[in-house]
This record gives sequence, structure tokens and C-alpha cells, in this order.
Amino acid sequence: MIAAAIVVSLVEGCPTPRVSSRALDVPVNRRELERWAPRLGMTADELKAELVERAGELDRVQMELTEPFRPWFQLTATQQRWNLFPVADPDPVWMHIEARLDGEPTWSLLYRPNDPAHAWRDEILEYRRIRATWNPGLIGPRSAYRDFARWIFAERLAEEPRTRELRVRMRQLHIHVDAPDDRPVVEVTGRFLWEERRWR
Amino acid sequence: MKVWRKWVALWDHREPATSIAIVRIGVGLVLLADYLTALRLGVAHAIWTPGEEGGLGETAAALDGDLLFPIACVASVLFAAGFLTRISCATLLLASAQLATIAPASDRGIDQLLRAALLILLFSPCGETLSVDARLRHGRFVRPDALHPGWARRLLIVQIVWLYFCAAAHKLSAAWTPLGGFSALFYILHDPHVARAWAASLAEAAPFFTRIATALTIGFEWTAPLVLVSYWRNWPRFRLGWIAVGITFHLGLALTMRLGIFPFGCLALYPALLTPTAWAGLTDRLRLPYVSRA
Repeated sequence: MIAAAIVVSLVEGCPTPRVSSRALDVPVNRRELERWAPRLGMTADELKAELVERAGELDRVQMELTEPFRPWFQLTATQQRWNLFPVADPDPVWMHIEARLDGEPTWSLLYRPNDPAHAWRDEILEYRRIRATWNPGLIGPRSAYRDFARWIFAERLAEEPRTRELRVRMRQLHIHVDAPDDRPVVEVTGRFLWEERRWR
Repeated sequence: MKVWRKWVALWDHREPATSIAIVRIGVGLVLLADYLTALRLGVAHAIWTPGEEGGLGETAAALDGDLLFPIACVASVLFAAGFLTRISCATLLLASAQLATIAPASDRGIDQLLRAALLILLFSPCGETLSVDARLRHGRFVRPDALHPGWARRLLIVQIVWLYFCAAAHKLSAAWTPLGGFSALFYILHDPHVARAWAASLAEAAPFFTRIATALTIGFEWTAPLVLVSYWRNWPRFRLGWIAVGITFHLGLALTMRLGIFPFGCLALYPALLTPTAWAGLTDRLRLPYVSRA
């Protein structure tokens, strides 16, 4: 019984690569492809196609092997595939929550992480289960992101009834490890991603 | 047959339930702390209500989130206290799983890890000592002299080893290797969504430190399987060293990053790495009578 439990769990959690074409197009992954491809004697695009194909095959085999046990894994909501910070992203994003009141043309910054001057509801927003709804993955926002925007707008409206509009968006950053003295380590760009607006 | 007999003997080896009882208390308290945080911040209803009803969840479960949440809270208290241990463990496991069904985005790896531990503890004698059950059934809260099959502690060790080994196997991006100059932690400590504000300053003041820490992290994770070898070949110093690095690693995470219960949830499983004899020796040395041999 114990041997069976270990074998099934190891097969289910076998760290086979789960990559999609979209995920490999993300800059940090693209750089990985370009770094590895010459070492393997192929182009980055060839390596990408090969990876997607092989990963798909491995994923299918893994799914077939664990299919009989899927109801058990679903009932207990467990899995044995642990990937803790697999990719350290040199291009993270920085969430901004902004709102504007009735009759005001300008946006006020309410919250952004690690900014004590804009820390509206910071403890709530940084609670791990709430952060999980707005913190994007490598390839984009998570499924709960839109619901988060709607919910935080309702929260703001309850606190400040004059709020006309609220937006949540992610500011693109670039981290430079070995930045020369005249260049900042954290480059804060003017580019924003994944904007969600809610209004009344 | 000889191999099979050895396999059975390995898992059936009798020992006091001290180590897994401490794991039980740790897991129960960590989950309780997380639920109480949600309660204190007033976000429990929002997290476990489906989006169509105005919350942050995705789907409805068999029971309503507003009912499941207090069940999970009460079950975590009872489980940590070791009262109706098996029932409270099963209740906590299923309530946590149902909450995960309602809000999969809010359910993180640490929740899955703690549920995996609950699954092992459910069938184990973790309520046989350091528990209200022990007090009610046997008249003693502490029963370090009662022997039980030690399979659960060994399975928890396999779980810990697999957690780190699997995590290492996923860390193939250059930043985690010498190819990328072991720069992973430098990037992570600059991620405003997870790192504490001062962590970026620390990384910039001592970039060499982040390279060393990255190399140590990846080395710690890759060497996890050697912990299993250490029990077999009797390398207690290696094991203690590895545990010390693990504790430092998780405390470092708690200090520099906002990861919620993650570091503490992982550390809650660590007592399984020590044999009940080691716990007895440790508490004797510290002059604590609680889990020492009678």
C-alpha cells in the first residue's frame, strides 16, 4: 500500500516540463532558448518546437498513467508537482491601483507594493490568498484577476462613495544584475500591462 | 522475499509517536494562523465566494464557503489539540480541499503540501501522544513510551525530500545556475510583489551574498535525496547540517519575502526529520520533560 502510494505520487509529480508555445515566447524564456540552442546545435525556434512537442508527449503519458487516480487527487486537492520559483524573472511587474473621484480628471494612486506613501489596504492586498488573485504568472494575469478588479472597486466605492472609476494595471520593470554606476538596478518603465477598469 | 521483508520491516518499525505528534501540532497551528489572518482582515467571505456572487472564487463547492470556513477553523484547533484526532484531521483535509475548489487561485503550493501531510497524518497514530485524546484514553497527555508503527514519519520524510528535489528539478533556468551567475535571488528580492521593501536594498548592498545564497539554495534542494541515504548509512552530522541549512533557508525567506505561511508550513514538517529518540535527547538536554522518555 505504501509502495503503491509512493509510486503513484512520484509518477503524478514527475517534474516533466509543461511548456506551451506562448510560455516560451515570454522574454525570460526566450532568452533561455537562445542561451541553450547553440549548445545543442540548433536554432532557438527549432529548440522551441522540439520542446513543445516532447513536453506534450510526456504530459500525455503522465496524464494517462495517473488517470485512474485523478478522482483521488481531485477529492483531496493534492498534487506532488512542486515548482518553487522555477524562473527568476528579470522583468517583473509592479501593480498599481488608481482611482478618480466624481468630477476629477486625474488619477490618484491608492496602492502599489512596497510604497509606504501609497499603501491603501496594504495588509489586505498583501495577504497571500488575496495577492494570489492579482499577482500575475509568467505568461499573464491569473483567472481571478478580473474578479479582483471588480471586488477592489466595490471595496473602494464602499469606503469612498464619490469614486467614479478605478483601474488596476501592472507597470513593467527591468532588473539589471550588473548595472553600471550610471544605470539604476531597477529600471521603472512607462509601460503598463493588463489594465482592468471598473466604473459606475 | 528478503528485500520485501526488509521493506516491510522498514515501514513497520515501532517507535513513539512523538515526532509526528509535533508535526500534527505544527500543521494544525499553521493552518489555524492562516485562517485567523483571513478572519482578522475580513476577507474570508470574499475569498471563498464565487465570482458570480461578488467574491474572488471561481466555482461553487458541495458546501458554501461561509460554512466551510468555520468548519476548517474549528477542525484545525481540534487537530492541533489532538481531540478526536482522526475525525478532525479528515474534516480539516476535506474542508481545505473544498475551499480550494471554490477558490483555486487562492490555494497555493503550501496548502497542497499541508493537505498532503494531513493525508499521511490521517492514517497515522499522530494523536497517540501530546494530545487531548491521549489524556482521555490513557490518562496521560504525554506517552513517549507507547510504541507505534513508524511508517508515517518515514513517509513525511519522503514527502519533504520530494518537495525539495522536485523544486530543484524545475529550477533549470540560467539564473539558478553558474551560467546565469547564480543571479536568481537577486531578481527575486527585487520583485515588489513578493519581496519586502528592504530586501532589494540588501541585495544591492551585497550582490555577492545573493549569489552565495542562490548557490546554497540550489545545493540544498538537489542534496535532499541524500537525507534518505543519511538514515540508511547513518550520517547524522550530514542530516543535522542539512536540517540547519533548511531552517536557515526558510527563516531567511520569512525575513526577506512576504510569502505568508509558506516558510512556517514547510518548517512544520521538519520535526519528522528527527527520530523520537533524538527528540527525547534534545528535550532532556534542554531539561524539558514534555516529550522525553518516561
